[in-house]
Amino acid sequence: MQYTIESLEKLDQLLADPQFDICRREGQTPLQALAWHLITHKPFDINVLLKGTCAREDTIVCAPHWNDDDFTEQINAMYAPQFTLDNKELRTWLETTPLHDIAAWTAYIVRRVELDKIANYYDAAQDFYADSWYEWSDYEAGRLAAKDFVNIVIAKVDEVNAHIADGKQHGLSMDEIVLHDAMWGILPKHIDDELGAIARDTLKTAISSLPSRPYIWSEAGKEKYAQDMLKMAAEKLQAQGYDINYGKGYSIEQGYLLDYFSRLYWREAAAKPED
Amino acid sequence: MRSFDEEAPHSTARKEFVNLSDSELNQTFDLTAIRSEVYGLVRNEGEKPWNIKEQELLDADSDKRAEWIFATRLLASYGTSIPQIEHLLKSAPPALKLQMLSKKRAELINQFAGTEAGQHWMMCMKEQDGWKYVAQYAYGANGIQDSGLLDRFMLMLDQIAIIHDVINGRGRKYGFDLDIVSTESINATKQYCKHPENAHLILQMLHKMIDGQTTPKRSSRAIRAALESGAFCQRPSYTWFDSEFGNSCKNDSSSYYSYTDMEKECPYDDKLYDEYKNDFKKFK
Repeated sequence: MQYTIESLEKLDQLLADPQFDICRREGQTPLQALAWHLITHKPFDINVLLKGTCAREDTIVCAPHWNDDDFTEQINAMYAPQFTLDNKELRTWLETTPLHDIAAWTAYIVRRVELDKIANYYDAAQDFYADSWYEWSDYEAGRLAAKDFVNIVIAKVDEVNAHIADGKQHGLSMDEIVLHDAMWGILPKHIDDELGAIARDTLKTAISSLPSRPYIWSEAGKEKYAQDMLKMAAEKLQAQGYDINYGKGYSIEQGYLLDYFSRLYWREAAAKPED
Repeated sequence: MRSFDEEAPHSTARKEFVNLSDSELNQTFDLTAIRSEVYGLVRNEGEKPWNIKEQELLDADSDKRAEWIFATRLLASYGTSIPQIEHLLKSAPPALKLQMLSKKRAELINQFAGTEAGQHWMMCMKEQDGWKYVAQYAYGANGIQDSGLLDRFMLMLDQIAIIHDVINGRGRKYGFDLDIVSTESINATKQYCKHPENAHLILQMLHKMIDGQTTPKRSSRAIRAALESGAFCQRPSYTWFDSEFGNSCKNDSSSYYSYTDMEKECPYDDKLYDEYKNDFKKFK
């Protein structure tokens, strides 16, 4: 028998049946398969969750582990826009479903996708997410309730998004927000206008300091550029009384800034080596 | 399927910041000397008559006040994380305790470095009297206003410092009689043992005898006793000694080789040395 799901509420009712116990390892029906896929970290047909078209065959991409980069790419290609909290339907379901464990496993996927959106670009936010990464282990070990895990994931994503919105309200572009936080060395609770102005000025100088366009990316070129821009940024910050320990010892701000300028050099290059 | 070993995806910058050598870990999170120092500060202040102290408090510039508050808070929070560490140890099989403690310490340091106060601590502790700069940062005139942040800072620092103590063989004072001998250590010790299958037990015994010793003579005593009793068939190198005990006692290569030179007259004539020899006899 196949089930047709008209709504997520219907899904909740169906999955509440004991036959879909989260501990089952194999699915005989699409909904059993859904529960099984969540347990085994395999992506499932999102339409099963959202639109109820259970008649489809599962077009499943098998992968050994969520941390695999190729696997994440495949997920993003197939499902990513739907596994973010921008997806209002998914968000509402996560917050209201009585199926707390399935919601936790889904939030686990959402967390990964949200992190991948900003990874290797927005370091302060990446570390912000990574700092609570072990809460998944706490949930698996029974130290954290499923609902609490879901709430933590939602809260973290909301905090990052609220901070970005705050930055834009202060007139900063996304690049300037990322640079502002890199100079702060952390995902801060608010935007500092003075630091924002330094970030804007620094970014303007950094862009004008790029090699003549078009330029071909080179490792040596990138390293020199990043170091020169770090020095420039440190001097601008020092002039306004912000000390990032430049020349004295390593600091997270310096690490963030070096990576920021390295990525800028890479991003603007006309040609790059193949992977 | 379990994500137990899933590493948190921190940025390269953060990974580099928290990638501390053994000596850096000691410098940053071994609070033994600092606790003693701040206790002296608090005790001296507490001995003053109230009328004098009262006036000082009202006159105190924010620097002195900040140090006093920080010292008091550090002492007050000492040991508050013991129940959590106890739970961690109880939930780990003996062979994995050390590994799990090291993992937990790394996880906590990552989280600690994700806070401004934590980052500040890790930077300042590279300097002499680093804690005093953190005291100003936290409780000075323009210090952190959020008491919740400071509470979390103190708790995390306490947890990391105590785990660091346990990993380095100083767990007994917290009630943790942890066997901190790793597989690598056992393998490195086997070559010196008359009976290699006893390496683990010999190493455990040596740690009980050597950890915390504050002079080269004291920390070399057990090695000589193991040699004289026949538990060791050859003298371990100083490299081995430093690798095994370098963080938990005081010694240097010339002293070590001198005190353990079996061609030289034995420098120990005390009851403790005899007891040690007796303890090692069963391994000969």
